[in-house]
Amino acid sequence: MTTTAVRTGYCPTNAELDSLSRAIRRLAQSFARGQGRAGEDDLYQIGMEASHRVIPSYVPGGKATLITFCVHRARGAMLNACETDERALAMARAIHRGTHALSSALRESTVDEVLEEDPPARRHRLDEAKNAYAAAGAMGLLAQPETPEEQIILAEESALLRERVEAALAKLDVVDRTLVRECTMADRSLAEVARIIELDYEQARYRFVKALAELGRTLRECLR
Amino acid sequence: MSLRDEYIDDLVDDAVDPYADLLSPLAMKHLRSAVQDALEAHPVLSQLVDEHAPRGAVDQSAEMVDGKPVQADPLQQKKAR
Repeated sequence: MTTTAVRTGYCPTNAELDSLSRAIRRLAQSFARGQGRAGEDDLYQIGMEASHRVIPSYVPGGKATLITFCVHRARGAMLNACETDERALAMARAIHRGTHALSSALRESTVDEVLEEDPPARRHRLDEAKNAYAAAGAMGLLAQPETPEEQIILAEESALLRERVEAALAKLDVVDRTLVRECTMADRSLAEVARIIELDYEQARYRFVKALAELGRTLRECLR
Repeated sequence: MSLRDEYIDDLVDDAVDPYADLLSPLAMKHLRSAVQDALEAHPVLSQLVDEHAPRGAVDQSAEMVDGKPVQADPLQQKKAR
């Protein structure tokens, strides 16, 4: 005859749950103050969920009280959440740096000027711009990060991307490649790069947008 | 969700598609959102989006193919009326 051990988890009292809730709230407040961006309520929720997952494994009578036992886990969960937040912010900042360079270059045309073009040309302009924006954002991820934390986060992120983008960049004309690299990765203004490579600003702007769109197309073809 | 929103979604999906295998889901999410913001914020591009996007709301009762609603033929609708 076999016996099955039934494992019953620890059941906290209402008073213990109240104390735990207060402790997690204080911890969330402290994290929210330190992190600046992470929401206190979200952190509290994360902390409480982590606590409830470990409560059944708590053994009373040991060295730790229930609060100490749970707060330790809650802190870990909150730290993970904040790290994810930092990662997300680093990526958003890097991508924004890339797309910002393109927005400046695209800002020159007026609506009237574009609407005078024929419909296929307008459609082509939209297609080109969306591909160029995606390429510019990806190039931002490859740019020299501003902080050591970003360097670590983006180095992990971009290893495979760098290899493919470098291959796609190599297919561009040397002038186009310089424009793309300098404006999206070295954070130089288009006007500055145009001066350095002795290109008329309007020509540089045109070539920059075309080169980014071409980069996006090359990457797409690589994946086919 | 409007048909314009769906149209922008498709545009953005198409633009970021080449990076899907190269970037983490988190980076893809930010890239996607950056491209969408850029298209919608740019005066000329948002005008072009308006020009090309179908109008109206997504018909929830419409027949779905590949997760997208099939737009009813306006001529057939007129005949039916």
